[in-house]
Amino acid sequence: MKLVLTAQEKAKLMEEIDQLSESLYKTKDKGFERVYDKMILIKPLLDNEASISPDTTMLGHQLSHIKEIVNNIDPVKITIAVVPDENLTQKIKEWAERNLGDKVILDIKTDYSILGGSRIIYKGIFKDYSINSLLSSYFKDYHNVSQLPR
Amino acid sequence: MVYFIFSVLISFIITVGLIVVYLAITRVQIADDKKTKDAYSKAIQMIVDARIASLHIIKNAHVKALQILENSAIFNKDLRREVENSLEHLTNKHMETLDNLSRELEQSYDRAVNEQKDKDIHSLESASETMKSEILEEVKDFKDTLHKETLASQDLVEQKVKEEYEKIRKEIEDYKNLEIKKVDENMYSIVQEAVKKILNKGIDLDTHEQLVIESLEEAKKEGVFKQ
Repeated sequence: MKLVLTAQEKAKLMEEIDQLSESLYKTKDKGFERVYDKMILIKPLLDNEASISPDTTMLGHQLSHIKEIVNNIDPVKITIAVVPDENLTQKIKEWAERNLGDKVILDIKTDYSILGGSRIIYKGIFKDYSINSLLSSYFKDYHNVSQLPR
Repeated sequence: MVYFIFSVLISFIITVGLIVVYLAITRVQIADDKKTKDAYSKAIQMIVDARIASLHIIKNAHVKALQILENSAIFNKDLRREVENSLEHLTNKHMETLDNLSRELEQSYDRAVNEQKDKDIHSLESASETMKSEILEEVKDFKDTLHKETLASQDLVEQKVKEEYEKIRKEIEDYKNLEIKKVDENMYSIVQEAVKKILNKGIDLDTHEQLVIESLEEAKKEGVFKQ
């Protein structure tokens, strides 16, 4: 199961899982079949499963399992200097899948003050690779104008 | 005969008097060059006076002799003519002597004047040379003093200028240091703000994308994700 998602996607996925879980015990328009057709994120996950259990209880377990897996993924919090468009988001996701595996949650936020690059928080570790940080480090080494490199 | 002796005596007295005057003048001339001019003037005046006096004496003597002769019983016209001729001859001779003496005196005076003139010219030249030397010496002293004063003034001015220059230089240096300190204090924020403004406007989306991917690579290298 590949789970490389943004934080928004994760929330949407969780919502879908909840709706689908509720639909297991309802009929007609609110029944599983109808609701499942409307799903976007969970669908690929379930379709890719070799066997979607026709058993309601088993299906409920499957959804709970996926939910548990997603909730157990530590998000990679990334702060960048622009509002990411679809293309940028996709590139970050591709990089994450290539380098971090198939279960990654990317919590991408925007802070214009960092100017460029990114700040990354993962499992409580903070790393600042922003241009703002580079500038601060650069000027920290010089106490006056005369010491600046020519 | 009496008349003749009397005339000769008078002539002798006059001649001696003139010689005495001449010698006195000569002595005065030798003794005091400064009084030469006055002495010669006096001598000439004395000669003129003596001449007038002698002519007066001769005239009186002539008159007296004529009176004596006229009163004399032995006096006759021939003798009278002879006496008159002798008297005239004596008078002429005397006049000639006086003229010669006067000429000689004038010549001596001219010589003395010329000598004095030469001496004066020499003295003047000497005085001129002395004055020239003294003036040159004074000028030299003045020039030296002026030069020294000028040098002293120049040194003073140079010293003042140097002091003022040092004062201004220090003020400029202090001001410069103060401004540099202000710039130093604000430089970080100023430059950072400038860079921020430039980068915010200047970085395109592709560059942002590249920077983000590079930062992720950096984090991976540093083992941020190996937990």
